[in-house]
Amino acid sequence: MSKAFSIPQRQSAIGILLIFTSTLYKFVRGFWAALAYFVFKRPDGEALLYISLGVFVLFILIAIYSYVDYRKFLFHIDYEAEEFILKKGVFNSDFVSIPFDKIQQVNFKRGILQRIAGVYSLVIDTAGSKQKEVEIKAVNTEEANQLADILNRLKDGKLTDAETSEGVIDPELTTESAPEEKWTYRLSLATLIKTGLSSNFFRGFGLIFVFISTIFNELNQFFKEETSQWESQFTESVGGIATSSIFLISTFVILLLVLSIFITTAEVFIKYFNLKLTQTKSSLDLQMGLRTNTRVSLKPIRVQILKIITNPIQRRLNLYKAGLWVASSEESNNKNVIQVPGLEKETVQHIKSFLYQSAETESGTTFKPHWVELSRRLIIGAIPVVITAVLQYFTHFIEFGWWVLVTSIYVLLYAIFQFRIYNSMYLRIGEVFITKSYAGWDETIEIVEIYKLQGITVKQPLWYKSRNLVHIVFHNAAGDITFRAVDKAILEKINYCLYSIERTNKAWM
Amino acid sequence: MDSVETPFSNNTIDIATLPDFEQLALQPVRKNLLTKHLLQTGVWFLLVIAFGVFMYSQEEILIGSLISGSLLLFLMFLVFDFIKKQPRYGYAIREKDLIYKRGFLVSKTTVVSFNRIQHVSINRSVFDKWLNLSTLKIFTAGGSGSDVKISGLEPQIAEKLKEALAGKIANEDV
Repeated sequence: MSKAFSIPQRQSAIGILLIFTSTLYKFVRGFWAALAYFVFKRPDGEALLYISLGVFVLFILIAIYSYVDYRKFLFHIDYEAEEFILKKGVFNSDFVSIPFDKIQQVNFKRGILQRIAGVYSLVIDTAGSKQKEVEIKAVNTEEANQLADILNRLKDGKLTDAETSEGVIDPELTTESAPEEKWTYRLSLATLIKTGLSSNFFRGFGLIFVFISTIFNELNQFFKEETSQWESQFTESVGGIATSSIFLISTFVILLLVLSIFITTAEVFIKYFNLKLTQTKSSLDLQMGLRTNTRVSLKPIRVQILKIITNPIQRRLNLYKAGLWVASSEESNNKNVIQVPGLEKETVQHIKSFLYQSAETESGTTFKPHWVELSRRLIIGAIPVVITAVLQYFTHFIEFGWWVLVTSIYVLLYAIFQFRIYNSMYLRIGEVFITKSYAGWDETIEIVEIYKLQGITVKQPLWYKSRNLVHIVFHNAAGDITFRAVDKAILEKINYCLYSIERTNKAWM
Repeated sequence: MDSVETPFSNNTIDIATLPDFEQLALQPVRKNLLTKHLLQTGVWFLLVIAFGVFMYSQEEILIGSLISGSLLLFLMFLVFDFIKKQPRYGYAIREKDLIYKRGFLVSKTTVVSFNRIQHVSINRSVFDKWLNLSTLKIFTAGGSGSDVKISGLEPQIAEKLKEALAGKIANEDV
């Protein structure tokens, strides 16, 4: 038994077909435009012959590629080195080895083709980006079960506290009988509506924009003739508006604003309806949602970054949003943050004390960005002004007076915004935590425990050398925290952070 | 913080005496790496020139020369950057972490602790095989930002490093 999978072996032969279809799919996806062109153009005679010949050759090439890929794809378990080993690659040769204890999960996946062929795709997950997971496309049911079973046992056997992968930190807690509720927070209907109304409307704006443009596109495609007529009418009237009536434009803007407030509120309502947050002895349980009921149970160790967000209006209403960022692979971006809006300050403190055993924000050394950071932000903001100025000069796409009006409003708002961000931005490195804070419209505080960092990058552009400035990037399993243009004196603290990461034996996940 | 929960809050640490990663002598990579980069850029040069000739034959001289001209300028900048970058590649392995420095216009130094490495792999492209080079990839859970890719290593050294790192990873986890 212990020798199972110890000899390098190939996947099930049906894998050739699976590789073939997935490669073909990639080709089609890459060249769909060309394909569509040929389909619509309906080539005839000689051209058709050449095209079908080309497609035929392509098929053969892909088939050969699939076969070679299949032949080169070898995996086995090295019991002595305690690693899962995979060799693959047609042109390059890749050699991947995953130590047993780095395996996070062994999953089965099954597409339609795999279902028909009676095989499974076995995915070995190690937290991190896409390249870090290994997928064996075709393994028959029996072997898949066996392999998953062996890998699961190997990875657990290696871990002294087998529960670590599930996120239980304190073994004592698991021995405790029933999960006891410590406190519960329910989001009332009134608070939910308040939260919705005081949320950031930019998202609402974006949604409307996407919605309108999608509809416009659809209309364009299906009623080409009708729209052209309608369009000419529309442009006529819009042109009329643009030159004459400010009144109509402002009505339009207000209408848009009301609509976006409405949409944002509705979104908040649907997403967070009936939100209930409960702290048990070892986890934070969250339930919410009108349409799809979300249930999450979080152990403190899984939370990588805590973000506390509010804005001037919400702060006055005592409303805060907590974002709990957990580790996940890069593709499933939307899944790795759990947002809990509509919290009172007190509840935020509850969450903090649950996650970090203390509600207090510790002191530490505070760093501010150098003023070149502000000038960089202002220069970036000036780019659209310059571009529109050039366009206006050459094409007169908008009347000069209008341009001055719009530009000065934009410049004013942008400058105020950037000054506010620059003034409020700081990074604090304490003994246990790194805290980054900044405020544009939203006021955000990001908190990460130093021992949960994965690595640190120090960047120095050539032109910052004389000023002795560096950018610092703290890499965390839930994302990076970047702090720009800070004095090199911070490196002492970076050495301290590295020291903290390296001396700890605590599991970070 | 609750002092019971933090194992090191009792001892004062003199931060100034902590080892400084900036003061480290770094190992250079092989000179062949520049050859590899130049060969890669060379392939692009040929493609751009071929495109230019094609546009010329199609009598689209203005657009053709504009596009291929700007592409050539960009490639020339790349060559300049590769040449300047070459001596700046460096890596070092300390007792508990790995340091990799690279970059000319923006110099980047990444430090990854052994107890955060997920796995290590060696990758060899066609150019690598010709020039007898290896690329060592070190993956962490911190996403592409903290993944380290050291290219231009001698294959034997890459293999040795991989073994050494695998050993360190195993030790760190006990």
